[in-house]
Amino acid sequence: MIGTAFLAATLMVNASATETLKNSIGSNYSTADLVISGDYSAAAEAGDDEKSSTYALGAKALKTVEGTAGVSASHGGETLGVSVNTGSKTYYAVMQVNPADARLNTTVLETGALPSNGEQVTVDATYAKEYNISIGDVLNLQSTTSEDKEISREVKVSGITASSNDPMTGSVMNLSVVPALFQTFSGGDETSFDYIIVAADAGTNLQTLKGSLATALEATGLKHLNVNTADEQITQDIATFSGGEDQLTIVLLVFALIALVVTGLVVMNTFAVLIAQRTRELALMRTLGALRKQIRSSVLIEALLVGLIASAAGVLLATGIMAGLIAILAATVPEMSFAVLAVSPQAIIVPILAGTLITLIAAWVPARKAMSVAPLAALRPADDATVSNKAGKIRIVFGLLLVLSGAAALAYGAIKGDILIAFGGGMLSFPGVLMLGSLFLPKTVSAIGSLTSGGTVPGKLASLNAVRNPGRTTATATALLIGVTLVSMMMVGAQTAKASLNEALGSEYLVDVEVIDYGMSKEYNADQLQKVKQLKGVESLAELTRVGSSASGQEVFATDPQNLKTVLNSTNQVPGVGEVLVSGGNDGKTMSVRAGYNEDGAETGTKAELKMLISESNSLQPVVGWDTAEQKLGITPANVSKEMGINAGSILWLKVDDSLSSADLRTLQSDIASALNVEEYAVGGGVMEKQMFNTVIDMLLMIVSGLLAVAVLIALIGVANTLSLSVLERTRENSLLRALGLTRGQLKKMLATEAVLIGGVAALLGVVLGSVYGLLGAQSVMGAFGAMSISIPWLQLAGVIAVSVVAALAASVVPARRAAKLAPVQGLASE
Amino acid sequence: MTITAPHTSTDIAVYATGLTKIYGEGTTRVEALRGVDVSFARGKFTAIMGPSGSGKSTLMHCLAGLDEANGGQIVIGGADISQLNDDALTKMRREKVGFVFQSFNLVPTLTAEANILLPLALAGKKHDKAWLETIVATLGLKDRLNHKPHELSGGQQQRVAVARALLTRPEVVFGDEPTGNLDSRTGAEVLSLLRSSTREMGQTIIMVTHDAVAASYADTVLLMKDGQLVGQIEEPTVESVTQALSGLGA
Repeated sequence: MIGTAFLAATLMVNASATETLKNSIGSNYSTADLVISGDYSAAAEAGDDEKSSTYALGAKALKTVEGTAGVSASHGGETLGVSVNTGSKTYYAVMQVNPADARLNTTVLETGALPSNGEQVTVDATYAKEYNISIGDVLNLQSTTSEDKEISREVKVSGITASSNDPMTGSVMNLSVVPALFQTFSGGDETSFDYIIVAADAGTNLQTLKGSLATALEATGLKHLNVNTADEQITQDIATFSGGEDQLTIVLLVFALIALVVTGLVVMNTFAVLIAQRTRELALMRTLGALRKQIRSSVLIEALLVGLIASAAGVLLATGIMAGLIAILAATVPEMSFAVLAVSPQAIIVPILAGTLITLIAAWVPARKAMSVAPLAALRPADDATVSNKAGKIRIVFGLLLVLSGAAALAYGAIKGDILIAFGGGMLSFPGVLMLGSLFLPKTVSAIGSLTSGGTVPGKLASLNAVRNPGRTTATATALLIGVTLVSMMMVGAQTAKASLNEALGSEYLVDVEVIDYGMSKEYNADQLQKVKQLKGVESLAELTRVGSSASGQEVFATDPQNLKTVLNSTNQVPGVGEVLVSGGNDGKTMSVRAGYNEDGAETGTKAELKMLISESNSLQPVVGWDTAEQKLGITPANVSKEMGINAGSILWLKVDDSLSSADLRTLQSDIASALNVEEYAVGGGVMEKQMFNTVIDMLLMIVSGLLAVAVLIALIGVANTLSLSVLERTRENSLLRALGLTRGQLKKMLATEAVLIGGVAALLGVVLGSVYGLLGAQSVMGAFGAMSISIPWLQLAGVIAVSVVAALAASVVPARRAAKLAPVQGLASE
Repeated sequence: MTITAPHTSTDIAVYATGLTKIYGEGTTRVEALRGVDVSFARGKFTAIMGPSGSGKSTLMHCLAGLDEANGGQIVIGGADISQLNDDALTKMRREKVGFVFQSFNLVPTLTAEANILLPLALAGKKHDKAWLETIVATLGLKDRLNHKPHELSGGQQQRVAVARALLTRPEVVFGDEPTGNLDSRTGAEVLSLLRSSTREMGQTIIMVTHDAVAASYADTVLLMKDGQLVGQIEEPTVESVTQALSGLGA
């Protein structure tokens, strides 16, 4: 039942994670059937320039979509940046039009009404609160069209909408307007939609519709398009977010696969124990005349029933647990309020089927074993002499083979960054390790046991008992080993993955906060800078001064190299002497930079070829250190204003505390603006988006932690199971010891020592094994991100060992009490 | 019915008065012992016999402090054990009682020597080396001390158990069908050992058996039926014991 619950929980975690991500990243088209988007990168690769419009979705495309059979409603999504004046302050906002069709609308109105004419607008709740905007307020919206025409409109706030969880739009104020107003601001530019969402007629085959839409659009000259279902689009978006490949989905998939495998192993283990207990019962039935067939069918029917009932119970349990977890998550972590429980039909049917099937298989193997025993032999008292459990040669060879080939695949996968190969390697090597377990586990246990027994008889007996049935010890230890390996693997893997992801995000969002005055007319005095530095949450600051321009027309800035180092989020992107840090779009290896500022384009200043450090960041001014500026361009902080003319123009880069919440960040934003006396929209940067991504990553880690909690639980139950079976089997022996003068206390101590020995050793090995798997796994998943930051959560790992030992101790309490309670004579009499 | 009246404690190793033991309740209530008064002379080999369900095993378990009687008094070596708590009872067993069981006599993980020394090791006491050597030599176990139980024959295992029982020089050694799992030749061997330990070492031995041949090795045979002592045979022979048993309807 627990196994099934685990399986169901896994699937639900997957479904919920997808749903939650859908809710977050894909919030704009979560209700749509199909999403059409232009594939910019494909167009760029094909060499089509922007003008040829082979990918831009225009009004014509929308019309084509509308005209396609099977489309019941469609909407072109586009956004436009505007500045919003509330009367006292100016903010930056993103304007969009709500889909006319209710089926496509994802905007949830909290209070008031949606805009009904060009003089009305709705504001999202988070920013309305932040900026103190309420219904009835009059806002002045301003924008400049591509033809440099200033457009300004007074609008009234008609309603407040729920805030978007999309990291892309959640970081700015969202305004919803009617199409007419939108067009006013877009100033008659050729419409270019970000995406077109489509609601299909009821009963339409989406795959067919996808095809016909693609054909219809291609006929209009659009070549590079993606027509996706909403789910596909979200997967694709997530993939774009996480570094070009579908990393997150793969990670989730791997987690699910691992969970499935573990469930299988644990269920098998548990059933082996259960059937071992019943071997004699089955044999008795054989003696009394039951045919092999009859036994088999009775066992299988029972297994079927047990499997079905337990699986159903497991699914219910998992649903309950997941609902509870998500409710807690949503209630306690405000940023997680978009977490959603999703119970897909798969999450119900698959676990029940799998659970029943596994139960059947698990019952089948031991039942066959029981049947192959001669009925009489099985009825003799169990021989409890020390079992000489010599691992068969075939087993050793096979195990070694598995370990070696698995390790090779794992290493290959890690080096190549291919998680599927690495996963396969892990899959191969772990059973290998388990097969060899009977070789090294009992030896380790007895070695550690003899070290710790302290010479007392119960201690000595415990360490002897711990290894007297190597098969059982291995089984017990294996249950825990699996759990602990998994837990520590996830811990190390997640920690490492997080560290690596942080590094990746750091290079994508190099600068937390950037203050940039688009007019390039500001210069900040020392007082203002000091004020900003002292704001709560600001960790460091770099002042960028314009020193020249590149051949391609980008303005090049210089700053203090030390400050630059502290401000950048990625340590390997700090430009050295002769190097220039540039944004992602730059080609080639060097950048030709000319000192000075020439409005007329006259080439006067010193010219230098600087080696480019190309970052992942999309919008970044080329930056050099003052050392480079002085040596290569002849510009120093002292002569810059003379060399550069009247106005050097300054940009500020700030690093802020990672732990700031979104609300803190917004406060900080306005504080910075007022300290520097600039408009609030001049204060921007990647920190908001970075924060959103961090939230998503944290959420994924939290979900995985939930998974792990279940795995640990299963391992614990396995330990308690096996231990109590051990104790039951040794009832007579324990009674003999009691008769010979072992006190109750000594008996309990003996059993506890045995449990702790097995548990401790399993945990220790598991942690070591798990760390190795985790590191290699993370390396293979994160391989695509380049350099990996190894990070091992020592404290957590120590915690895992402590928990396992305590759990083993706890698992021994009940059996030990039962054993101690028994009067010696009862134990001796029991057969 | 008193068979042997308890007189001075120096001659008596173990005695019990008014011993009762009841199993179950209501309709399943079974009186296993109905007020048994019994005493065992020091340095004697006594066998307790009786048909199945006569209470002979229960009597032995109660006398040895393995099971708790519902009423009556038990004195071993002058000390009343009926009021002791579990730990005190356990310590009493370590020091004053030795056991030889039908089977499952040895701890399978320990060597023969460790098994022999187990009660003393549990008590945290040193053993008397000379005494150990004497016992081991007498029982012919010298070459077997480092063997694990599963490497020993049934007779050898039982001899190890006897050695373990004798090592502490207990007040009394209890045997619960000690030959039940042995073939007749090795059984005879073990019984001879037990008898000689009484004769030569003055060891008190109380043995429960339903085998008339085994009982014939004893100095005295006590007969039980329905939870009561019903007879006594001194200097028993196989014939006299068999006859007495058939008289009990066994």
